[in-house]
Amino acid sequence: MENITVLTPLLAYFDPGSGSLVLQAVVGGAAGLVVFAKYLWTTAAPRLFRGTKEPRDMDQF
Amino acid sequence: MSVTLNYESGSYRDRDGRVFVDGDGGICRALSARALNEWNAVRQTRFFREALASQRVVPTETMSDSPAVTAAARDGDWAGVLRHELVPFVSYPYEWSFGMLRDAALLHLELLEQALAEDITLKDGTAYNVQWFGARPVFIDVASFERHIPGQAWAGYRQFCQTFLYPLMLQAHKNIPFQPWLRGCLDGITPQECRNLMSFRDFFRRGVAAHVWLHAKLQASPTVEASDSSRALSSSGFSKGLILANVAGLKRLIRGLRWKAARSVWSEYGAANGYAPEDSQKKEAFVRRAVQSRRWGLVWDLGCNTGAYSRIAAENANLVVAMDADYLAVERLYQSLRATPVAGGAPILPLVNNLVDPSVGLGWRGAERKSLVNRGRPDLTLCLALIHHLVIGHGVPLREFLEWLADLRTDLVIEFVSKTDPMVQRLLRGRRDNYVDYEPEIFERQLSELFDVVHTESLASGARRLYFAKARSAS
Repeated sequence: MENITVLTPLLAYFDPGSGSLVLQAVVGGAAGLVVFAKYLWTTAAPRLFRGTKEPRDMDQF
Repeated sequence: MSVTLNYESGSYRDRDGRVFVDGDGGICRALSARALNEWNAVRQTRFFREALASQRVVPTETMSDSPAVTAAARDGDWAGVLRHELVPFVSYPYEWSFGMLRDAALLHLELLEQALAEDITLKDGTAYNVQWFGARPVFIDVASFERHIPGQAWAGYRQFCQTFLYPLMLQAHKNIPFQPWLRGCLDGITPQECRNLMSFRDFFRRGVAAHVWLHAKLQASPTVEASDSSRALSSSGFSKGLILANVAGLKRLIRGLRWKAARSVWSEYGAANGYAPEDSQKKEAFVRRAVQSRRWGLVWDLGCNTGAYSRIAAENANLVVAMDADYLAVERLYQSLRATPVAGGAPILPLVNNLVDPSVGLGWRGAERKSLVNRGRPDLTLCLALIHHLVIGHGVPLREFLEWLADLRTDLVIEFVSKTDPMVQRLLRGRRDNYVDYEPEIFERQLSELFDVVHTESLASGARRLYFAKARSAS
């Protein structure tokens, strides 16, 4: 059996939109809200605790 | 025999597959090694075999040894080739009626739901995945099916919203036809645009708060957009059940959408067209005689209205494309075809099309979506009770309209409605009658210059005359 790990990134040939992916947890009922809460905890919380000032990555300019 | 890959101009986005036309004019799909692997997994599933058997998915076969396979391996480094049954006449979502887009959306969702039960998903969600065999929607992009990766959300959800859900909501909640919006932007209506179109009242309608308002909010969130949501969701416990719950919700939502259309100008025309019963019978007999004169391939019925003459044409043709500029007329024709399919005759494809504002080449290089004429020229064209709308209603010079028809190299059944007819009188009301070219003698002379008129007949009222004319062969 092929080893497809749960962390394999989505292989779309177009931009599926991060917000559109996250919304699918929200509209999925109670179980989805738990996933959404975990998602917020892992993505938004670290940014909030870091404060609003993020170091600027000069390489992108 | 050597074959050169002639790629379809609308098939370029997916690097794992491209559609091309083979040497016999057949529609083939070249697949990468990855896509071929997916196809081999998908075609063995029960849901897919059933979808093929019930013709909800376009009949498709894997080609093992043919010039097309050799050419695909040589020219594009493709690993495999599929061959699809030919779509009789390609159409686009901006030419469909409300009910057509709704049924295409439901087909999409039902296939996704059944596929997920066997761990297959759809990697996109665009309305352009669907075509029509008559009034029956068929899913054509078989390469969109692939194995579901646990923890992954449906990548095509946004496309589905933009090309199916929001256009349907726009028409159902705001009574705004979606066709010009979809024609104006092939990617459809974005969540932000849809949110801006909705009123406070609409916010409380089913699905608007989540699929529109929240969708737009999340898309505009820098935190969400900057994150690797796919990976983060997966590690947060996202499961296939959430996609199934979303799909079930979308199905209920879309089934509940209704277009409460007001009466339109032409959709009532069949019931109140001013024809005396004997004129109607005479007209039907005239059209039937022309239709029965030979077997026709493609028939266009321009200004089809209720489709009464499309049904007559279907008696002796391979396909009838019934077109009208009136959204409601096309919707009613579609619903009547669903309720009373053509028994034993050709399929009828109803389409919204305005001859003075027609479907043109759109998208990349202006060739991704083809103009109407570039999708198949008709062998017979019906122009019944139409010419006065173009010449008087829209100011199209009579000669130019006839020349356009002649350029199609089509045989023609055309009705000339003179200025004494009550419908023409209605059109002339409030206008200065400077349509000096719109006279029966001028029409007849110009028609004879461009076509070979084989049969003509006046209706009893005397204000209308029917012509059956043959195309001149190209010199």
